[in-house]
Amino acid sequence: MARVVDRIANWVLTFCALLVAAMVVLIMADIVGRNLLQMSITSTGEVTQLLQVYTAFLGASVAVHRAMHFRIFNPEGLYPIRIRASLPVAVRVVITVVSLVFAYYGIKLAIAQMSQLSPTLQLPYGLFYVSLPLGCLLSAFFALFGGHVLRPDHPAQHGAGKPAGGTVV
Amino acid sequence: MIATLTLISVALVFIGVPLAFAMGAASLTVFTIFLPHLPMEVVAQRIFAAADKYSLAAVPLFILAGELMNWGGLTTRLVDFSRAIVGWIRGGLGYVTVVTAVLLSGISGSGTADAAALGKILIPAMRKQGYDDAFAASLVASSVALGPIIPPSIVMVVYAAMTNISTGKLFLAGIIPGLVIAAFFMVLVMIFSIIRRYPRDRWGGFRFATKAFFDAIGAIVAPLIIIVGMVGGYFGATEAGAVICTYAAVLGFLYREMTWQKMFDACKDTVLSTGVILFAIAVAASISWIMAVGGLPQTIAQFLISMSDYRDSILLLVIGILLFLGLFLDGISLMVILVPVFVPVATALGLDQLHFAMVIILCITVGAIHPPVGMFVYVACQVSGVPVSTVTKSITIWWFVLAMILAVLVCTFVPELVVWLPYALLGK
Repeated sequence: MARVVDRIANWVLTFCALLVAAMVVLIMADIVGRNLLQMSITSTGEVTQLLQVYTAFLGASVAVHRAMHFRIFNPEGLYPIRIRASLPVAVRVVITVVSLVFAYYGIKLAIAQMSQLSPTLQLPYGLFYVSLPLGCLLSAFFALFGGHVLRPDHPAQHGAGKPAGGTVV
Repeated sequence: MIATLTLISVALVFIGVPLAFAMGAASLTVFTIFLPHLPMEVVAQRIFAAADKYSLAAVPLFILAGELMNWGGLTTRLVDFSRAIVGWIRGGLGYVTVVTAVLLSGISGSGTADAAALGKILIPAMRKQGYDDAFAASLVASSVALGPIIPPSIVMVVYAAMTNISTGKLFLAGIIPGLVIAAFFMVLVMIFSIIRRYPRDRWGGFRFATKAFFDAIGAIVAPLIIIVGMVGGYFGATEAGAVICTYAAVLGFLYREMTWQKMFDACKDTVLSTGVILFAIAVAASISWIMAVGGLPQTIAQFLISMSDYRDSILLLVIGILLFLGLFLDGISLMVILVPVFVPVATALGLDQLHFAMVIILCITVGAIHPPVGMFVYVACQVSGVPVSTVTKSITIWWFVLAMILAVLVCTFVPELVVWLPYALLGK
């Protein structure tokens, strides 16, 4: 099961990496077009935002799998052993419940926005909004079946009482 | 309402729930109990709207720029150049660290990326020359704090998106404070070098320095490209991220150190960091909205104003709170929690928003270097193999923290250092 979950996380990560690359190419094309060819790509802002929201919410789901989200306390080692054993379960439950609630209302919101069209591309706004429930459903999936929720990949963040996440400040 | 929000968030954070999910659980609970007349979709809408801002596209772009710069060999060339021009002074590698950090900060938006890049190269080099581990790691960890201060900066992008102030102006506001901090660090390096008799490199001659300059010229002019492009109106602050990504990738290929695989790996790392930051900001937006409905920012503003009539003492209080909380929280978390509270206070006091933003960013950056949280210390130690305890048990790091706090106070009470450049170049 762990291997399957890892593979799914890698697919999502690869997809999002392509989105980031596309974002760079698109914005550069717009800058070059605008400054050298006096020709602006009008939909750049809209497409960039579309790529960005998918990168954000899908990326956040893979970050759940890798325990990379900002955590103020790593409680491992801070509590008695009996309590410590149940902490990962509690964390998984909280992440799953919050993600599922966000996903439910995100779906309702996306459906409600399907009739609204974006100004330049004339795409249904719902397509933008779908990124939220999609990311949250994946977060719930990774929280339930993914890696160790309290042990981040980043070795600098290991250890009791040390912060987790926040590797980009 | 606010008490429930705080209690739930704190309780969940203490059992190890990630901040974003703790805030999400708290906002959902408070919404259900205290605002049952409003549709729950409002929370989802607030979360989505906070992430769906064009200015936030700069977050993945600047993270990617930092990654590409490290993969593409730009850092090594900058170190070689700095070593050629200041390495011959006593304690040369100390100055090299500060100069390289300044140059690197002009390309990368992330102090952590800089800490990983510089720590790998400069800490082993300093150890080899007989510098003590605590000094080497403390200096690298402190110098990379210039990353979030000198533009481009991911922290600034996030702050600007949370408060709707101009990212371009905020970028320019960081230049002089960054150089002031670098000057303070250089004075510290000089004092340490004299007292501990640190070694120096041999002067390699003008030809050597010129060669190092031309080898590194691609990386040296990168910050100029950003500033000229932004001030000249060729591209905006967000687009600058894409320009630097392209530039770093092209240079990497020219230096024959970049491959398509490395580029793709850099994109993957970018996705994870972006997801973490943007999701936290998005969920924080729902909390901010609930706090605004509950009138918390106004209450805190009134409380602070009732404590003192002087703006300066309130600013000192804000700095004190940020520095204290910086002992326990990392930068983005601190910003996500406190910016929605403090910005209305600044507005109520009639403070310049740009100046206030820089004060907050500077305080947050201090938190990234001092123990026990000090993320830059952890990264610098991790990549160089210096035990973290060597730094945390030594007094050296505290001298750098002190220098930074001094710089924060200088920039707080001489606002011209912060606001002069952005207002002169981009108007008020």
